[in-house]
Amino acid sequence: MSRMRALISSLNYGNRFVSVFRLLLGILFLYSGFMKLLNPYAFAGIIGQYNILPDVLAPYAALLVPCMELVAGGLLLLGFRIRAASFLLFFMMIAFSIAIAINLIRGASFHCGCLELGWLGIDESISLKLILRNIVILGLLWLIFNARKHPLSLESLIEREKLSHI
Amino acid sequence: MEINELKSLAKQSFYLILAAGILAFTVNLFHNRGFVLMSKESLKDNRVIFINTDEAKIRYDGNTALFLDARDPEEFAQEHVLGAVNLPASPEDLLPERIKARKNALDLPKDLIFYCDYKCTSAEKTARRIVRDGYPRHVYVIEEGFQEWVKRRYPTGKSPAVTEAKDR
Repeated sequence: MSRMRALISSLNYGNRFVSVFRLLLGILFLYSGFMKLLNPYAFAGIIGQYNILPDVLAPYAALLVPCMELVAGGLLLLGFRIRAASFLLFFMMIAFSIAIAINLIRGASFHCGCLELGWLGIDESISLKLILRNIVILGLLWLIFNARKHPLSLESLIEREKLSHI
Repeated sequence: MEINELKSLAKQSFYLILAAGILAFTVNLFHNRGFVLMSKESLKDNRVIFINTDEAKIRYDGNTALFLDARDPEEFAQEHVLGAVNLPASPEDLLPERIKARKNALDLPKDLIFYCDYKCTSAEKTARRIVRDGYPRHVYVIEEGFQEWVKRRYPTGKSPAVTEAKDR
């Protein structure tokens, strides 16, 4: 029990596990943003299928969302401005999950256009499973946001450099 | 969380969104399909839904969709989804005529499922064309292509190109 508590507080403080999650999520969002940017037309079509944003805004969202994923994912991977990047991704994941939930309630069925992991054999049609996956990602983003220390990051390198000058 | 901390978080988030916005603008400027200026009308083109082979099979079993083979007539004659109609995507200039020739099949109250080989573009191209023409029902494309359909031993037929839907 006490080991469990120690693990939780170490996760809260920020340990290597949190850093591994950060690096993995960074790669994941970089990849997904890049894949969407390759064909913004297709992504705009998917946004259109969600039937939530007005059609006029869909093309703009189709460019901005992947770019936000690229920038935030890149920052997570580098380990710079980690809190802001995880904060933004957190809200983006909440928005995606709500959009999926609304369409599930409507009884719609289409490819979600989220992480582009179809080539791994992962089914990305909108479903409850997808919302659960998003909740897991949200949990990991929360851990990253909450952590005070981030080993293997640019931020920790800068801090160490600053401290060495004191 | 302290007010100062919140303020700095909001500031950083703002810069991050700004950076994403600049990146989006730059991508749009140099993207080979320069994009944001596309009209609402062309957005309709994108209402083509990609599905996997199993999803297509569910619609096949429910007999709710018409299968359209976008490959060449020779490939179609060798093997195709049982009951499918051949609608070759190339040559492109003949496509409107071909669509017209298959009017009876396309007028059935069914969704359309296009397919071609794996990683080919002809099914998507033809599907977008049909959507642009204002097809009122769902238009799907089987993402994994015909090979996956064969690999799963789903029903196939061998016959010369047909332009009308056959009852299964």
